[in-house]
Amino acid sequence: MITISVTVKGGTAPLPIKVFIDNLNDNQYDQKITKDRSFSENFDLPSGKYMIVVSGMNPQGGTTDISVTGAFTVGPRPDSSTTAYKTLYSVLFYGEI
Amino acid sequence: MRKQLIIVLALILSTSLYSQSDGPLSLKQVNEDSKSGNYKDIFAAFYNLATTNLAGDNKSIEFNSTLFALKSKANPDLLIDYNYEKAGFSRNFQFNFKVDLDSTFSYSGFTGGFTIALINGRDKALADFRKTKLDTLFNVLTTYLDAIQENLTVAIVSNPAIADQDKEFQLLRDAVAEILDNEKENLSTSTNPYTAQILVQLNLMIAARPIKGPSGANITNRDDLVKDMFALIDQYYKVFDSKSLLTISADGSANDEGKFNKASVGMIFLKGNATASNELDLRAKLIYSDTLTTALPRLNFKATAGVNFKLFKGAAEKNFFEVKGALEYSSILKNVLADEKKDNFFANAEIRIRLTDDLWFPFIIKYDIENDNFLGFLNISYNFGGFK
Repeated sequence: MITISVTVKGGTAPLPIKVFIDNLNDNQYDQKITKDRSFSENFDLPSGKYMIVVSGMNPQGGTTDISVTGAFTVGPRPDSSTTAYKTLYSVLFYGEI
Repeated sequence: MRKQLIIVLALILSTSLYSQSDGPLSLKQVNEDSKSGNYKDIFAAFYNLATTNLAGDNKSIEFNSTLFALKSKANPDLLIDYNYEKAGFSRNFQFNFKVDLDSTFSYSGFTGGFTIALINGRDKALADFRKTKLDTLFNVLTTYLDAIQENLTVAIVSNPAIADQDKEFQLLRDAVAEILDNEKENLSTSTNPYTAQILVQLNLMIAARPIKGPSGANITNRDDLVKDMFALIDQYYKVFDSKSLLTISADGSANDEGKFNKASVGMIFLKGNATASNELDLRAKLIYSDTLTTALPRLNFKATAGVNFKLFKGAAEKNFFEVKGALEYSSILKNVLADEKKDNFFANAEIRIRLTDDLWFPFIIKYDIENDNFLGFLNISYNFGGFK
C-alpha cells in the first residue's frame, strides 16, 4: 500500500489537483484521479514499476506540499516529498512496489 | 527601564516583520499584485506588518496585521486550504496599534484600531478557475506531459548506464518545471538535457492537434500555450480587482496621560467595473476629537462619493496614473466654532502618480463649492506591504 498526500497552503487550488498513477508494466492498473482540496489517500497497488505524477495550480502566493510514501522496494525517486512553489506544477515520482 | 522595554518591543516587532515575510501569507501576495493605489490605501494595512520609526524627533512603533496572520504563526495548519477557507473572519479582521515616543524615547501617545472587511470579493487566494479555458488548456498540457514523462521514465529505468537514478529523475522533474514556467524563455538552450527532449516532443504533440487559444487562433507550440495560459491567469485574477469591498473600521488615540482624545468609526465601499478600469468609491466617517487646539470635544461627520479612474497602464499592466473625482460633504455635529461653518460641500479631484510598485504621489485638489476656493495638498503614500 502507498500513500499520496497533497497539502495546499495559503489558499485553495484554483484548478483541480490531478494525480496520475501509471503502472509502467500494465496499463489496466493505471489510475487517474482529481481532487479539489488537500488530501491524503491510500492506494493498494499490485507489484510493478510506477510513475506517479501530481499536477495542479497553486493559489496565488501559496504552495503545495506533495508526498508519496509506502511499501516501495525501490524509490520513490528522486525523493518521497517535495514542495511546489511555482504557479503551475507537475511533479513526478518513480517507484517500484 | 521604560526605554529598555520600548527597545525590546521594537526588536520583537522587527523580528515579527521578518519572520512573517518568510511565511506563505497569501494576503501579502494579493497586496503585491494589486494594481490600484486607491485600493491599496484602504486595504494595504491588512498586509502591513511592523514598522518602526526611531530615527527622527517624533518616533513611533507601529504594528498592523490580520488576526489570521497571527493565528497562523501559532498554528501553521491554518494555512491549509480547508482551514484557510473557513477562516474568513480572521483573514478579514485587521488590527493596528501605534506607540508614539518623543525624542527621549518617552511614551507620548497611543493609537489603536481595527478594520473588518464585511464583503471582500478581492481575495485571490480563494480563486476558482475550474471549467474555464485555462482548465481546458492545462488538461491538454498535463496529458501531453504525462505521456512524455512516461516515455522518459521508461528510458531512465531501462538504461543500465544510468547509475544515479535519483539524480536523473530530479533532472526530469526540473525540466518539467521549466516547461511550465512562463518566465523561462529559449528553453532549447536549457542546460537540463531533458528540457530540450520534452520541448521537442511537446511541440510535436501540440502541432499535431492544434488547440484553440483564448483569442481563437490555433496554438501550435509550447511557448504559445504557456503564454496563453498565463495571460488567462492574469485576466482571471484581474476580475478580482473589480469586485466589491466593504470595510468598517474604528480607531482611538490616547495622549501621554492616557486620556482618550480622538476616536473615529468609518465605512468604505469599493466596486469596480468589469475591466477594473474605474471604481465606485463611497466613504463615510464619524470623528470625535478632544484636542488642545479647540479645547472642546468635537464631533465631525464626513462622507465622500466618487469614482476612481485608472489610466495609462505600463508594461507590467499596472496603471501608473489614477484620477479620482469625488463629492465631499462634511459637517461639524458638535461644538462649531464661531468662525466656522457647520456644513461644507467640496468637489475633490485626487491625482495619483505611481513612481514604483508601491510608491504613489497623491495630489489632492479640493474645491469649496460654496465659497469658490481651491485648496491643494501633496502627499506621499508608500505601501509597506510591498516589502518581501
